[in-house]
Amino acid sequence: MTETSRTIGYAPEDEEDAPEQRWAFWRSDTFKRLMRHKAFVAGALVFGIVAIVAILAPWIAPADPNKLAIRFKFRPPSWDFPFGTDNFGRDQLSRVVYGARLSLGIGLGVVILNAVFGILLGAAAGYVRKLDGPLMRLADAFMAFPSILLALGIAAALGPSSYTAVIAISVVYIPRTARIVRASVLVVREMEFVQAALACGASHYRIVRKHVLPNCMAPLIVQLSFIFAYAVLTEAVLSFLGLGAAPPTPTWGNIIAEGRTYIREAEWITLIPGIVLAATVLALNLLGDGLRDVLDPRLKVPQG
Amino acid sequence: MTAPPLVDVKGLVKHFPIYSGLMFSKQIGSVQAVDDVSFHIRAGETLGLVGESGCGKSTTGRLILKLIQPTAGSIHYDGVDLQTLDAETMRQKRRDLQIIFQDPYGSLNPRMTVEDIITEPLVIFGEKPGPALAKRARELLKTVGLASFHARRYPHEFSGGQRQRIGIARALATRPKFIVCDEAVSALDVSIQAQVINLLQDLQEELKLTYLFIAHDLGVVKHISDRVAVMYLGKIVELADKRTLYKQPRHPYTQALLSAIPVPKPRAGRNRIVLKGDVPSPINPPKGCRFHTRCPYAEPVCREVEPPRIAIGTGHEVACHLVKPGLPGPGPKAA
Repeated sequence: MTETSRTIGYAPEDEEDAPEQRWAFWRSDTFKRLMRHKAFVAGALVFGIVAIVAILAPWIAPADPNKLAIRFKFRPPSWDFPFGTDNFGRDQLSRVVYGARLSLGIGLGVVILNAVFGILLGAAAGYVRKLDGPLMRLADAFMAFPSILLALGIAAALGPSSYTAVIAISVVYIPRTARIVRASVLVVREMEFVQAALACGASHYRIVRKHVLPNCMAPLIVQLSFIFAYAVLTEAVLSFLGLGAAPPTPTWGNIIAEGRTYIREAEWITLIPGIVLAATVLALNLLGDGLRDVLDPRLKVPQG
Repeated sequence: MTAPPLVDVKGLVKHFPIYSGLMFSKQIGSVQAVDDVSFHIRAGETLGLVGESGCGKSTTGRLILKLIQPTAGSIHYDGVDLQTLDAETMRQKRRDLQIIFQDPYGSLNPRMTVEDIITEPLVIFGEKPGPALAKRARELLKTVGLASFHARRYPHEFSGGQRQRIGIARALATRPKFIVCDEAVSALDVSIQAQVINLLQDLQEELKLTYLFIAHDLGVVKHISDRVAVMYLGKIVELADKRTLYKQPRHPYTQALLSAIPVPKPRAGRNRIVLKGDVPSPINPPKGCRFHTRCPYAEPVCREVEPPRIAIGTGHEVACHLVKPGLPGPGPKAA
């Protein structure tokens, strides 16, 4: 094997092996570009705060979110009750903090289900040509319904609870996710490195897992961040309409729904969770926009 | 010269069907990409396959490796008919048959390190990741003129020529006997082309490789091939050993192709044969000789009857009505 270097002439001398690149992502170009994207950083910051609050809810909330204290009812925001109290005298800050837990938990559940089934169905439709037609027509059928109506219908059929909310919202968005995965799979499967893997005797399972799917991740991640936002919003709508978690459990949607009766006298009950909800959804959208700008080079706009 | 051929292709046909309609589609025609192609390649030699874009050369290469299923015809490798093999036996055969692709950017998975890329064929054939495999990766990198520290990098960190070397290293990983070079140097700069071609020749000598070298550049093919086949619209029109083909091209298409090679002597007289028109559509190829629509010497018989490929000399075969053994044939006489 040594003879060959004669005509090649440029085999560089071996250098010391570079140290294992364990933190490759943090030093990568993608990460640096994300950090330069102002909207992404703002979104990530706000969402990060909401997520930390949700995780640390028992330590952050000043009181039990369900503890009734009628003598403190309808207190406006003050030092003792930063977000005020509701018609039962419950501490609104604690309720919003615990509500974040449920909202983000449901959002996360929807994202996970979307990732799993979106990848499975999208890969099946994109890679197995015979499944493409039937699966995509089925997706069309689901997408023909207005999304809120479909979620309402499924949640109503299954009975109100946070699990049914996850399922109902997932069913609405999985066809969209599957479509996006399918579109990327259709592009990647025609690339030459897939042919090369076939020529090396790789099985179809290996090709899909090692060659096709890793190259379809960018649009999927972008889509999932938007789905997180829609899921939080849709969950609020469902529990506002009484189809989410049952009332004593606080969710942003049912806090707003309960406060609606007193909106003239105690507007903070609806206003504050409304603002938190809007801020969270906005943050997730900014985050998704940033990811799309950085990960999806086809949509790249020159930045001044 | 009398050893049995390593690769023997007979009557290879590939028609890609064209469908119309959204749901209940029906076939409305087919692209006749490869139509009745036969040739053989002896062990240790290089067969050049040339022709213009869309004439079916790449399809032929991929058919031989069974990356596409042929419509008809047979492919014998080392005496075994690849068509009759079951999936698993064929998979095992892939150790011996490899391919180097044209596009050094598209043929390497951007999400894998170079080490993972070039050892993938070995992992597929059951070798466990570990120090032995890493050592083999380094060995392969050295064989193609790259350094072992390149193993941990990703494809985007390399230039086109280096990527092509990585592609070659991957093709060599399973110690194959036969490699299809599908326009392996067409996407590279001329100076890098020379390096890669020299590398391919050295590897051939050292590892006793057999090549099917597909290209559209006759100059490159002349350098590396032992014999050359010229394809036009899915058919081989002329096949001869290199010297004969370049000195005495007999088919009008080959003559036109050769006359298009630039000569590095400005005042040397050239009889440039410029073909008129475009290549006809392979969906509806011309009747008779497929070249008659552009042939400067076409006669009535060319429009009606498809010319058979006949031997006119030792290993020199031409498919043209106007070429007869022993007769000078059409066109400008060889100087």
